[in-house]
Amino acid sequence: MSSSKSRHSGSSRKHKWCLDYSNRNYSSLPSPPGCKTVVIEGSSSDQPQEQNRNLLTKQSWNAALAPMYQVPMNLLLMYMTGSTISIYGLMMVGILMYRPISALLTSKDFYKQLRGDQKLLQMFVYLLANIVSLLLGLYKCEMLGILPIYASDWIKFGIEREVLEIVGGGPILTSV
Amino acid sequence: MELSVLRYHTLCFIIFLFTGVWALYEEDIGKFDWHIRSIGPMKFSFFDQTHHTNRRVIISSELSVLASVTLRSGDLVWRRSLEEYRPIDTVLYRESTLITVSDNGKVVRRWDPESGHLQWEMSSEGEYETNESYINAYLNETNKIILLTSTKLKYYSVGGHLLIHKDLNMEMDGAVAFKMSVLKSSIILLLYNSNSKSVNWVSMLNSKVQENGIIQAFDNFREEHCLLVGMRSIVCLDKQTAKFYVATLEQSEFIVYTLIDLHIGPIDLTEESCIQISDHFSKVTPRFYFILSANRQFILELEFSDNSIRIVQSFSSDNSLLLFDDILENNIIVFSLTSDFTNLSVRCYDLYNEAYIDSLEITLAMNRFSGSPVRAVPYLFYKKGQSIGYRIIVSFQDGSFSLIQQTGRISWTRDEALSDIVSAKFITLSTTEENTIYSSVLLDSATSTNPVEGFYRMIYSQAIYVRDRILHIKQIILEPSIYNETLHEAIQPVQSAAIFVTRLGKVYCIDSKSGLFLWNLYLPHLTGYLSSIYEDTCIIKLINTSPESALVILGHSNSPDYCNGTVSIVVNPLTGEYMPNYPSCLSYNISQSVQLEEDGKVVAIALLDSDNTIHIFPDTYSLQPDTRLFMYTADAQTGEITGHHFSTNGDDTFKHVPTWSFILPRLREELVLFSVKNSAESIYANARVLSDRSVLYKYLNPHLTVLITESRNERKPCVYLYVLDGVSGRLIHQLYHSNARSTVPPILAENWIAYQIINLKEKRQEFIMLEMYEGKTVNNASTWTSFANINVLVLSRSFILPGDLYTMTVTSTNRGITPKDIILGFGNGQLFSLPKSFVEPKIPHELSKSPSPEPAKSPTPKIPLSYQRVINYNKSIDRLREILVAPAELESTCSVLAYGIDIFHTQSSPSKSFDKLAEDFGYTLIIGVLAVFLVFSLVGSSISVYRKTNQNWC
Repeated sequence: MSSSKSRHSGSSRKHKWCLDYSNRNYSSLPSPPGCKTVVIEGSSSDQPQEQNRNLLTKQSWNAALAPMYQVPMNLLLMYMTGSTISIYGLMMVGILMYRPISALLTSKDFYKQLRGDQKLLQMFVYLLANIVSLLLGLYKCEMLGILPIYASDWIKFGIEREVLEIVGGGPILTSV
Repeated sequence: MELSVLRYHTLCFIIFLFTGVWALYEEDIGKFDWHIRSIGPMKFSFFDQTHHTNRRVIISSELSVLASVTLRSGDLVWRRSLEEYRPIDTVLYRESTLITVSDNGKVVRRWDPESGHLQWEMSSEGEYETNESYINAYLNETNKIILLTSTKLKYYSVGGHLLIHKDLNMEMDGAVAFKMSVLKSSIILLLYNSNSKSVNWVSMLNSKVQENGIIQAFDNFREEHCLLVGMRSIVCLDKQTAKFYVATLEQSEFIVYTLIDLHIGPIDLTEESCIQISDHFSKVTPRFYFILSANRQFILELEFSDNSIRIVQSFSSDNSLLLFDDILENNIIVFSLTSDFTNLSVRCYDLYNEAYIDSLEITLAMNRFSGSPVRAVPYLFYKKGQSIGYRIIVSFQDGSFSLIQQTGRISWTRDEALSDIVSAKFITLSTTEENTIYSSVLLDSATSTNPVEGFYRMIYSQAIYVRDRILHIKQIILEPSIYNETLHEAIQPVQSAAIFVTRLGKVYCIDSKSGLFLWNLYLPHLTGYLSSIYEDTCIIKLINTSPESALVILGHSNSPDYCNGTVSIVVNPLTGEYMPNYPSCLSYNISQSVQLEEDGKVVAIALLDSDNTIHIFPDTYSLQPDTRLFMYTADAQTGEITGHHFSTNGDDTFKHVPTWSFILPRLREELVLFSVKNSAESIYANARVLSDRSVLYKYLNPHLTVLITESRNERKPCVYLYVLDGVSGRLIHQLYHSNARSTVPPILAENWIAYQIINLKEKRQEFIMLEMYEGKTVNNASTWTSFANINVLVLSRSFILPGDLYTMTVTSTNRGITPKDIILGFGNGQLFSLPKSFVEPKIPHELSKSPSPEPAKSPTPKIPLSYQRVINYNKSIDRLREILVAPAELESTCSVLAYGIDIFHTQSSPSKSFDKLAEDFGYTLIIGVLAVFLVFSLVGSSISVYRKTNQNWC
């Protein structure tokens, strides 16, 4: 705090006192007690590398399968919210639809994180899982009846028919 | 003391219990509706002097309506509408006794003049029916009602008892009574025996025959041209030979005077010429006067000594002249009323002194054209300084009547022509140029197919409206002097007005929002066309010509001298001023008409004349050469409905081809009702959704017409219904109901038809709904032609109608989104708004894949008419004839106008007002909350800045 204060007025006034770390050579200093800067030997050996690769693949699989693990949970939620239109049901449908859509949109970033030789399979599984979630959402919408897939949903957009004939008439008007 | 306080509290409590209860919030009464109550053209009138503080006038009208109005303002105090089919023959009034005699003397009623309550009624319905040509009644000094008809003489007491009943036909050997004169308890009857050509006279005292005699009649004897003068002399006028025949009752023959000898002639004795005597004349003895009315009018005196006739005074006028009289003690004053349509002058002639009273002469300026005066009733009284004063009620040809004061002013005028409406129509008018733009833009936004464009247009129109309002407010602030009511009215964006054409030839334009009269015209030669199906009708159309719209009214001329054909009135719908360059008379008789539209606006009318020739009105409009114009006419006499096709020959002439004819079996069926589809109807959905979410496409034929015929065989009454296509003449559907009759024109809207039948077997009214569908697939989605072969699926359902239906119609809104209501008008003057969904037919189970049957809103066969559905609360409409409906500015609302004797207008919202803020919307609350939030956010932001700085410091 005091250093920043001194820095503000540094140009105009002479410093009373100052702590300056910029010119210190850290490498020449001894390590604190219990710490030692040593390069670990043998980090490039085969076995640990294989282990790392497996770990990465496992991690990638976990990430790729994450949407799939949510499917049973979503199914349970869908069952719980019922088939009537209510605010909770709609919120749930919203979340259900939002997650896979946003995941699909940001899938490129996700693919970049994937490591390992099963990358293609993982990508496919990830895609499939999201599509399954999306379909579940759509199924829920259909169950709620908010999916415009029937002819009755489109009758308001029917084009007005052009009438070709002009007609008029009625009982004869008499003047008697 | 305590007891009196307790009583006082009890009284207050009881008074508190009696409060008015209405069917809607009390503050809403008259907010959205208006009601005009009429009496009808005046027939009888009496000055009711029993109320010294609140004087009244009792009026009986041509429409069998009895009413009491205040003398001060002419406002209605009470009104009783008697049966239309039983016209009032005569009305008697003295002090607290008011008697009406109706239906050829069959019904006698006594009314309370103060409240209008019926006190008693005597009806001789079951008696032997005769056609009475003469009816006269007196209320004599002994409070007995003496009723004389051609064949009967009856005495009633004022308490409602039939005292004496004499059948004159039996007693007098076939003679028919034609005159009666009453003086206290004695009466003299004159009867004419057409077999022996003699006049029998009978003198009676308290219904006992005193004397009688026979006078031999002359050759051209006519009963209606005879008078009984002074209880002793008969004076008859022979119009053919221009002679007076005079005889006293003791004589057996008439003495003859020619009019020339009496220095009366030469005068024109026409059909209307007559001699008449006033009741007052017989009260002045020993001088006996009567009036001769021809092209000039004379007061004549009959000298009893030698039966000679002398002229007392002659009245001649180039203008219309009316003579009437009143008595004040022994002083008979004869009033002469002359009118030259701009000025009305009253002169008073003192009959006893045989001189004019100059001090009582007045001249009034008439500020409107009402025609000539028809009837007048005077009332003479002594003013404070023992000078004579008078009031006169004058009725005019246009149905209005006014109270004239002796001070020379018209106290009030009641315009009663609206009680008998021939045709009515809603029109939309825009008042200012800006508003025209506003409404046209708004209309474009409503019809625009592109939603973005529609939205833009809507915003644009709202901006124009806001600009107009700001300009208007600026005008009020800068020039407050020119701000008046009319300007205030003129700023309303879109005005919808109702046009009425009445039987007396008056045309009214009334602002449908406020009920204000915008303008009126009196056209004595205009009457409605007759039709065996419609009672009377006129053609009213608003034509959108540039630069301004024109209102066209076409009707029949009642005077061949004025126009031998069709009367055409073309006026500016805003002002009622005649538009130049239009003919006032068309040389042909119209048999049918059709409106020609361009971009959804009516631009011309095609008129079919009696020779099946088409005329375009206005004749400056030329029809597109490729127009496929069809017309059809229904002749109720021959039972033939014929279709015609017209094609242009390139010039202004048309080629006429008869296309189809539909002939009813004339000996078996009679065409009684006819309905045509409204071409201006907007339809939102072209299909009905079933419960399995599939659709059933509606059969939306715009050319449909419905005929209802009845069997001519009275033993087997039945109703036939035919649904025809007006272009191709194709019979789309037909139905048959046995033991039924039908009285209400059917409704044709969208794809459904609703009609009423009277089930004679079950003695009830039934309501039947037919819905027509194309099926699960649509035939041709882009164009409609009547020549396409479409199989129509018709669904039907009938309901019991709990009430006496007079007329019905269906609501219509701007874009047809709002579900429709059927408005039912009942005989008791109530209008019920019934949702159409309540009376929809059930969809057959095989059409829908749904496992459960189609839900029906109304599972019961009886239409649920609860009183909450009454839209005119306690403002009932007497003798309801028709209900008109027009879309209002908002989609949720539509204007409903019902008329009979009364006119009632209201705004109906079939699905509640979903696009309008509630009336009790808390504007102040919203603004207050917003202001509080604003203040809080401002204060909060400054506090947060302060806190942040402090935080940064810590």
